[in-house]
Amino acid sequence: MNASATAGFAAQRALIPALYGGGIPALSALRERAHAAFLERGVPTSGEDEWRYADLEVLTQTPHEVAHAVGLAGSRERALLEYLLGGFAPGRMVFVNGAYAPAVSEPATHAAGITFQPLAAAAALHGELVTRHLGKSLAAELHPLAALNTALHRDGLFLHCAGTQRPEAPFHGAFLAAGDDKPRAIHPRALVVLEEGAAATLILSFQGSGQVFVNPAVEVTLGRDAVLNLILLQEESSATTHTLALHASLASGAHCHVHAASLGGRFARTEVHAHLADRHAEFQLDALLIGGHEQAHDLTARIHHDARDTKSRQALKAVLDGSSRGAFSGRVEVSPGADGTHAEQSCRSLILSPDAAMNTRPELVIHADDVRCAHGATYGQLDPEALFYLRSRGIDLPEARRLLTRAFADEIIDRFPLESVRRHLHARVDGRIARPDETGVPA
Amino acid sequence: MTTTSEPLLAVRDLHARVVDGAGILRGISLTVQQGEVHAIMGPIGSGKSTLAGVLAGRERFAVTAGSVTFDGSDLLALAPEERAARGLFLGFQYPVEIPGITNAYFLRTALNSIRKANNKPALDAMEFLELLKARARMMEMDPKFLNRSVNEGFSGGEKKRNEILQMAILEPKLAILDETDSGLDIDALKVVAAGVNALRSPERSVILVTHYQRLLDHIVPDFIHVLAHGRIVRSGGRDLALELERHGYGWIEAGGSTPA
Repeated sequence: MNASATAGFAAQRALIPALYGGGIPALSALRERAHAAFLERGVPTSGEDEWRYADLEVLTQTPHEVAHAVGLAGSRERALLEYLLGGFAPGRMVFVNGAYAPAVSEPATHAAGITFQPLAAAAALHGELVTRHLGKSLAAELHPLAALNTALHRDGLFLHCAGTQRPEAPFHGAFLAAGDDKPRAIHPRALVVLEEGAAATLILSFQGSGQVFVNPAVEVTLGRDAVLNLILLQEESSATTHTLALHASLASGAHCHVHAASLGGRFARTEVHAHLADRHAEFQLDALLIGGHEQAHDLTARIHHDARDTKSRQALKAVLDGSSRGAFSGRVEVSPGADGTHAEQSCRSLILSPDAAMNTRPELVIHADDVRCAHGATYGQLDPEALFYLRSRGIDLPEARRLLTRAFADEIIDRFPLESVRRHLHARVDGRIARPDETGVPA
Repeated sequence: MTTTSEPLLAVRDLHARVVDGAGILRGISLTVQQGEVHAIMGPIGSGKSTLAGVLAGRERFAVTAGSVTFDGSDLLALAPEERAARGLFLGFQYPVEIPGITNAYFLRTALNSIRKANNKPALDAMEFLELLKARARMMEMDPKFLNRSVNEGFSGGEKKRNEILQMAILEPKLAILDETDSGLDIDALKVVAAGVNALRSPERSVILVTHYQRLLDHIVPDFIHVLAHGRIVRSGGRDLALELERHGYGWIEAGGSTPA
């Protein structure tokens, strides 16, 4: 690791006292410990098995200062915001460079028992709840980049639903990177706690510009029979290094369904950890990766079946053009005694260019009997016979390619729970198919 | 039928082979006037489907000699979608299943692509739906097929009906129907034939490619051509089909191994 990059990470410790929670000893200590754990561990390298498909060299070569909070005052920013957020949800919090932007947020008012507010405010009002969960499941010793986030995040999204609250309207956390001419680091954070019997839908979107390192950490705790639909939209710019870590803990009967679309970024990693801690917990992941130009996507999923009669299903589709790379590393671990586990995993890739490539690594680690696990992977090009069929009906080649590519991706998109999100993704995916080299937001 | 006008389709001494493979068409000449129905018959491997594929623009065939003029244009210089835009339609022997695209969406995209290429305004969703429903009734197709993925899970008969539905929507000048009768039971065959007959008009020509003469009981052609070894070895009227039925292709092949 480059000396100035190392020194840069070490020096960032000085930022901690000024960040939120500075007056709460438990949070200050959490940040300090996390920072120390990160420095001890360092930036993961592709030499490590868990990070085999990661391309994080830029972090070790160039110091990335933590980005400053900036306002969204200009007309261009406002126009950009409208373009980006075009009406997913009435309840929306916007974070710019990791800091809450109240001027463009509309968190809406909610029924008693629902808390949807910035983490910094929540830490002041509900300190015990926040300290009980924050940084616990994404433990600093095991998750180095999440540790860096724990140490340095400016703010974040906090969603708490007390039992029996099942709000219909979705919540949206929009994380924008407003880069400048220097490499910057941004640490978006989200903490979601649904108590017994609660249900919610949450969108987390990531967009922006600049040569930024965006390092989101998301912790989810679901109580008994709680249901979370979590939508992750990654549409970063083509210079962005994006590393999201998600950890979900599920109590008995809880359901967590993650819908992830990873469209942008230079290198984008989505790391999903799910712990099915009690009976009848169920986890589903539907993920779509769209790669073009020299983009690299890395989807890493670690599903732990720790109790009897738990279920998981992972379905990934990747569309790779240009000289892009995709990787899916999915591991299902079934603990001793977790009989009646049912786990499925599938990964299908559409390779549109001879220079694009997909790596798939399914792993099943099974320590129980009476377990049903299945996995499958396919790779293919657009079917020439289908292309000819469409062309023979008058549809030109670019449109025929778009139709067939969309049809492939739509199987995942159509499972996203909100019409507004599906519409948004259809438009974005069409744009990417037509112009595979353009990621992020048009200038 | 005689006419002094330019033929709709003029195939002259066409030679073609599978890319990197052996020659399959060895000098086909065929003239189709507007409004005529031609049947092309022949044993398996005689080149019938190759001829249909070459005319529609399949990339796996390479034309090595000869020419094809369609409605005044050099057909072989056109991409498949341009051929479709000028009014050529291929009914597939094996219609392709396309998961994830509904039949209705596919057909509207196709029709509007062709209309756009001909400088006609696109049909909006409502106008198109009216047209589609009317044509589906003609083909006795359950409307539920319109919202299902193209050909996915369709039976053999439903796929062929869907081909003729597409033809009815796109209203080509020349429809080449490649073994549209294969895999059909008699009821399905009658529906498909009725659909084709309903679309017969003085402005529309049809080339029926078939192995069996039974299709010709239902769609009566003006001319019949028999292909063997990549050449047309016999041409004639309706009687030729009956003769073939009596004697089989062996009779033609034995007597027709040299150009007729």
